[in-house]
Amino acid sequence: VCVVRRLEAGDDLASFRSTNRTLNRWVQKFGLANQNLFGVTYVAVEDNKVLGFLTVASSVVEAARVGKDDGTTPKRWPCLLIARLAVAKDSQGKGIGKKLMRKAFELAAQQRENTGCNLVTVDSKPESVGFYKKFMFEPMTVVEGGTPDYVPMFLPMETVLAAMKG
Amino acid sequence: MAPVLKIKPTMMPQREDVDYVPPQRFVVDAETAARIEDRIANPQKPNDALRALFKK
Repeated sequence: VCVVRRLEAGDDLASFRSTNRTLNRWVQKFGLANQNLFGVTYVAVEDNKVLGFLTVASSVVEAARVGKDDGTTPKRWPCLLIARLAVAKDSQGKGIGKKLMRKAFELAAQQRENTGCNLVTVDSKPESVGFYKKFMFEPMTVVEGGTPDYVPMFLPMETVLAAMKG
Repeated sequence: MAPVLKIKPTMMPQREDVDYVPPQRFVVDAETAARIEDRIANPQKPNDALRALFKK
């Protein structure tokens, strides 16, 4: 049975191979080192084999100020950011990505309950935009922040919570 | 002649795409901000793919 849980020191990441070498190198080298600092990494594990991983972080979406600074605070939406997500090449098509997405949404619901969360956002690689659009994420036009060449997207929590209720 | 102090680098900087730090803040344009507000005020019904994630 595949379970999704926090990345632990004993997890074998050396043999993890998704189709994206950057993501492989990142989780192998920095996943554990960054745990609970920049974000939290979760792994989909079956028989002690890591089949995929998800890194989430807290973030905020903020409306750009229009006109001069009049002392008001621009609108802000606290969010859970899906920062990294990858599935092992030999585990693709088995629903691992969906399990990781479900985990991300459950974490967003917990964040909403505990500290507030308006949106789930993702910092998507261009080739993964279709995957997130399938779950109703929409692209955002970002004027500051974000990662060069990535596609920032959002999904409101109202829609996520409605899906959770069935 | 003053002695030349040679500093040996102990750690090379990592490539940005490998040593990734998640963006803590996205500042969005007015059109996106209005769309976010509208989506929160008038939530869309979840589609089949989204609902299927939570089916027992």
